[in-house]
Amino acid sequence: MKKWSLIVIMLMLCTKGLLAQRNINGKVFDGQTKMPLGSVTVRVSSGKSVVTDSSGFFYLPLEQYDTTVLLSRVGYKELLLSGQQMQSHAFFLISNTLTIEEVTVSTGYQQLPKERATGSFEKIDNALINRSTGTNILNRLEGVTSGLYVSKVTGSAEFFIRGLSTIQGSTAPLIILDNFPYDGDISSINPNDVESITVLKDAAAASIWGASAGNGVVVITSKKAKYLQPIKFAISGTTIVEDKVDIFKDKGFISAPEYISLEKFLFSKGKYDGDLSDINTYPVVSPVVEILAKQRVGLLTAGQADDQINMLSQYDVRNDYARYVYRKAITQQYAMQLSGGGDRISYMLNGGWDQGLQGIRGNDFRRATFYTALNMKPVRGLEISMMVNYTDSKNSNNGTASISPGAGKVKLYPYARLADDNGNALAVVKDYRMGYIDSAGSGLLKDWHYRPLEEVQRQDITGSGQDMIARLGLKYTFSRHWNAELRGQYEKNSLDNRALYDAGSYYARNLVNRYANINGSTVTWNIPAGGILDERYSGVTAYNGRAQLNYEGTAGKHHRFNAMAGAESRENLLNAQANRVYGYNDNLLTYANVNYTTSFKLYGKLGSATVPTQTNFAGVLNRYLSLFANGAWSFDNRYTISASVRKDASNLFGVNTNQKWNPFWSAGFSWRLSNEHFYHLKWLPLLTARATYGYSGNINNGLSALAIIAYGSASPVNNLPFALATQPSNPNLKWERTATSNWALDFATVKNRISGTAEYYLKKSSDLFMPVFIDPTIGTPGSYLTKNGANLTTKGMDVKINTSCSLGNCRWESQWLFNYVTSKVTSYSFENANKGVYASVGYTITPITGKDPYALISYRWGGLDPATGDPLGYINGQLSKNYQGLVQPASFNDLVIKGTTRPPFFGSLRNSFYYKGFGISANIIAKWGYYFRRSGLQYEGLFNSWNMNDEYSQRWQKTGDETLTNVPSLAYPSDANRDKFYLNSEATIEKGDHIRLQDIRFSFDLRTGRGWLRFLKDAQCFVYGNNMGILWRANKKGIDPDYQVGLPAPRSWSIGCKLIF
Amino acid sequence: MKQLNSAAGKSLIMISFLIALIFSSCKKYLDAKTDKQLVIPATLDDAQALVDYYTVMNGFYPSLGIESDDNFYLLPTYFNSMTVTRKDHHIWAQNALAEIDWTYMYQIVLNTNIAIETVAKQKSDERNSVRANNINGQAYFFRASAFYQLVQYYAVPYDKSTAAATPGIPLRLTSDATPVSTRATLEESWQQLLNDFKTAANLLPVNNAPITRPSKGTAYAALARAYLDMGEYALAGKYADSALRIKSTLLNFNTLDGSQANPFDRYNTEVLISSIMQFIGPQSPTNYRVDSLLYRSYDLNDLRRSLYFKSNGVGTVGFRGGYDGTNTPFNGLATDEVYLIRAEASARVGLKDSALADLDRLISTRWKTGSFVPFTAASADEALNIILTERRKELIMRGTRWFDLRRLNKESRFAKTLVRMQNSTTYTLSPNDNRYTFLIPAQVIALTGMQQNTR
Repeated sequence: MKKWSLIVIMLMLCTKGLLAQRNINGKVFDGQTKMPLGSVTVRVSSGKSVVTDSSGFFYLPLEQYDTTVLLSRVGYKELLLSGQQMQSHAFFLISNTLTIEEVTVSTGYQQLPKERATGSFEKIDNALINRSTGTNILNRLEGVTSGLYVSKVTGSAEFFIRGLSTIQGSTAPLIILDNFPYDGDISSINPNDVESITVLKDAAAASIWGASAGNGVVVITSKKAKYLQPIKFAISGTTIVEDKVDIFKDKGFISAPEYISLEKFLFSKGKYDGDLSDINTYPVVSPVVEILAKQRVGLLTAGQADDQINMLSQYDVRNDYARYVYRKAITQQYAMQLSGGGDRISYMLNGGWDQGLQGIRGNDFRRATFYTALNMKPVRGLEISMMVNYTDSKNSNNGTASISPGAGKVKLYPYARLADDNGNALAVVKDYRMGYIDSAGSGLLKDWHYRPLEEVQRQDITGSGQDMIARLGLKYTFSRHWNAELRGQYEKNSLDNRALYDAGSYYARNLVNRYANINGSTVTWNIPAGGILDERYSGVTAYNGRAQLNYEGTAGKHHRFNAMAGAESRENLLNAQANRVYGYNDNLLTYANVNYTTSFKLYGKLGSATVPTQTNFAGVLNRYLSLFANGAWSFDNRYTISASVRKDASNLFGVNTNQKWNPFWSAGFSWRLSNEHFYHLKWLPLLTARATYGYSGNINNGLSALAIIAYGSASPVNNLPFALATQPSNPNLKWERTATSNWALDFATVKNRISGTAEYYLKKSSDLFMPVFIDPTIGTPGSYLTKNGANLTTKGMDVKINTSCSLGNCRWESQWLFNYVTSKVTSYSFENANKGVYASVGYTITPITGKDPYALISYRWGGLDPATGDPLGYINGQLSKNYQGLVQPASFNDLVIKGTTRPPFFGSLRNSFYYKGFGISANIIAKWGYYFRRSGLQYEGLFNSWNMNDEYSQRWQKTGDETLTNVPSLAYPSDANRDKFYLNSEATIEKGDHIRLQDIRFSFDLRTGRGWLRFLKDAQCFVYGNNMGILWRANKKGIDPDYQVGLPAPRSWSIGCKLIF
Repeated sequence: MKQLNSAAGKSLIMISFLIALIFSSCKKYLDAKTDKQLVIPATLDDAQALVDYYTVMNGFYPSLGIESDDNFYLLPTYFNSMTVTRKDHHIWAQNALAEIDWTYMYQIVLNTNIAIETVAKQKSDERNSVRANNINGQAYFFRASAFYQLVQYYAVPYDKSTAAATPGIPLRLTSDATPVSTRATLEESWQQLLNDFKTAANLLPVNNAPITRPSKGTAYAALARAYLDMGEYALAGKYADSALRIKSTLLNFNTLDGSQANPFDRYNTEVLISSIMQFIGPQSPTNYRVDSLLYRSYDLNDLRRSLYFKSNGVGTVGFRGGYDGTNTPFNGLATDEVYLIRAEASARVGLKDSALADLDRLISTRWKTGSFVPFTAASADEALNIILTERRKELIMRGTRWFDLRRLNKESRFAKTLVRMQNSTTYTLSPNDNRYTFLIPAQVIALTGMQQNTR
């Protein structure tokens, strides 16, 4: 140790001697025009600084320990001088806009210059990240990342990097935050703390992440403190205002008059007689049916009944939704950043505050983020980096836009009223007949009415999350060629969900009433009156550790090597628990005890049941160990060969998998043709060809190789702990594997006017998890076991073209993204004998050998029967109305396979114009070559669950309508198979192609440094509009094909400013 | 430079050491259990937990019998609301499926096999402890109960003369998943379940709590029921007697509060083991309408008329509830059934008086106090007729009616053709029809190649 310190001290003295100089002076010029540059800040490492005058001249005396000088000016690249360079007297700064910046990409293990990488990396830089707004970082990738497709059809965003590589598991890419996999909720990352994002698309890029990289990898790089940087303080604020959701665009609606006449018809057919005569459970019936029932027994005259019904028919519940439920969503984001650095230490301190009111009243969120990074070089060669990131967030979810009457009814009748003319909350039917709860308990029970608008105040449903990441890294550089790194990270992510239903909430009142027993005038409350509190906690604790050795070296003039190797371990432990208390008082924190084991008689004749409990515990531990190595050799800036290898083991997978040496590897080659002696294309100064091949994997955490029994908590019947045998042993389970080959061409014309990349890839995924039927006689629950067995091939093309053109103060840049991707299941032996199950909406994967995994399969449509309006289909080629047979075809002959629900072609065109400090930019996204299934009318659902669809008004009503519509006639009694046939037939397919104006952005840089802005270094303001609208669509029904569940995302406008001091 | 290289060397050694350290403990590190609730069964606690799995051990017995028997029918509304499979059971469709029941019964078999193997793995002093015997007894009892249900639904009714050459059910007696399932003969199947019940009777204590676990008397009652179904009346009587020697209490229906939604308690004094059927029918069992002839056969003084049934307000009478304390059909064993078995066994061997004595003892608790008139019969055969009528009236929604139809159809004097009208189609089921036996799930046939039933 002594010897070491001695060496370090000697070396330090030695460098100081070299720099024993009194001052630095000279002139600064524009590197391109060679004109002198004023307003350049010249700063030495001790912190002293001057600004160049209009002739570009500066003079600055130096202290003994000043070892470096930094020249900086807005619009130019920073220039760092040290050693001999400082003795010069002419300095040239290079303009930001004209240079080909050296792009570095991050794999989470290494920073690589993109020009020497063989693999497929997609870098989203800071400017592009900040082009859009919003609190979720991943949402900023759509439309600007080549090869990334974001699907929203199932209601939540699903990310696909280069299509599919698995059929059973999640398609989500692996998220890396700086160095380690991120185990928290992605919404805990503040986009303001992110410097850049690199998407790793092919094997050479991603296979270093081994068994979890099959779906691609997204590496998020946080902002880093820089050495030798003056103190910088920046604040920014953004406000996003989103339009109110347009409930009138909801297809799930039938006008009140139409709905009432349908109810009258069903009433006359006796549809409601069963419910009306049920004096045990009093099922829900609508107000119109109540009126009709009263009329039938003579409680109302025909005239009175008509008057009451006419009154109801004037209401439209959508007006109430629009007025009392929806609102404009407003999000506010504030951030501040303090950073700076000397030559030994650099620091960054970020704080963020986000808050928002969501589009539904009662729902809001807030998030506070704190991020700090500190880098130190305490002794020569050693760098210590520390990072702490803390996020505290809270969501309230008290409002809902889907008010349901319960008891199997999914929607409110269209003439429902949520509030009276004065805005007072009104009761709607819920769970039981209104007439029943009006009189139930003769005043002894709690009020049993459900007033949806009041519930927002009566409950407090919140989720509070804390996410903490602490990271420590040590890097020791012990020679020009070698350095070693040790990194560790601790992450703790906890989520507390709390649902408090106060004593006045319907949820609490209903449970209390149900368990009340009345005997004469005494009430036994088996669930005590009062509030109900549900608490659910889940926490993830993750530990990551890594040791890594890096080498970088040259041999002769032309050879460059870099290599790294290391090992890492990763553990993530999930704990969850839930509990409930009854009779809870939030002011006094008191609660009451209940008996969970006795089956109580419920009120009236509602049956009997035990008191529902929510107690639950869970604990899941995942552990991984990995070894990895990666190396590259470049020759003469012309050829680069790279290779990587990684071996994973985990506690999830079969003993056999962990024992076998079966690594993921990759190899790549790149050839810079433009550096060859024979290359003479002057107009194309850059041309590189690249090719890679390799493997990555996929894991499914839900699987285990062991024969096990699983414990459950006491059944309320006997109150004993129990266990059940869950699955037979499955020791041969292994990771899914994807082999990817990638061929690419990079090019750029003179001055980067046109530059771009074209890539072709082929992914062959094998050993995919697939269910295999097991003999039920063996006795495990579930009829199948998951094994490795299916195969999938995906191929496609990513083309990206950038153009750039300047004229005086004007600059025009554009980026074209064109992506093509198609998949085919090449082997899957779990095909269903009833081919009817494949006719579906096509948004989930239904694998069939030889078909696209998202194939849209439909029953062949034979039109409507002109006499009855019944839908017609084909059985063995013959027109038929045998719906039970129609929905269960034994072969694909009577089915139509029409394309896929995932667009094989998608792309975007982003144009940006800049004039002096002003900029305008717009992104247009197109998707084409695909189909989707629109939601349709189903009578079964309409009659029984009140599940409406506006196609009802277009239904077949008389002969001749069959030429105008495909919507079947009303048939009573309803036939579920008839509905199913129509819903999943060709008649409900639409073409998905469309072009949308995704967003538009105006920005302007304020002229800082003088006048009232003299305290500012830089200032930028912007206005950003998102979800601007569809420019063209192939379907004629006005449907937005991107949104199938829920309504399209409304347009939003953001306004924001960033000031740097 | 030399110094630097040696530093590099040191770092290399340090990192190699670190890697070696990580991977030396690798095996242990990766052996950690992923999910805390997953366990490789090892202890008596584990074995007891396996047989305490109420949902499957006590909660998922087939309701195929009550869906198919002649005690109840369905109004079109409820019939039409059911799935095709449930409709098929009700109208005795030839290709009716009964897949889920097979699966649940074999889940019981697997859980009990693991429990038995876990007990056998214990050290010798533990293995023969009172507790181990008790757990083992429970496991054998539940395994036999599952085999009993399977053999009654998936094999033809027992006939001593042909049973050795008739296919029975697969008898999986270990948890090993490897052997391909094959059907044992009908004789082997019945002998296996009888042996299991006998083993259970030997191992189980006289009292066991809670009542979701079987006790010695429960095993005797189960043996009585099985021998009755086999037509071995003397043995049925003998085991019924053994059961009643342990527990003979009866519930006086006059003590029940008829105003309650469900007048019976789940753990009432007659219950020997509490278990229920997995009910998937017309939404609620109360939607079943009782056969009007059957309903009218209850005397007005017979309390069962109002405790078992209730009016639906529109001229029909439906099921109300039973010994589970809910309206879910009870499937366990109770002393009332054991009295009926002993009575029938006596009548079958000509002991008219003791047969009627048992019957009187039982039925007198069912009538309003003071109104009951003891039964009289001129002959043992007449007594048998009365007993069988009362048996049907007593064991409502208990799943026994279907099994009784299967065995009684073999005697021409008791054979009955069932008739049902549904959506203006008439369905009939003649005695000894193949449709008294259900189809083995197609998946089982496809994966094992075992012989399918004729239906």
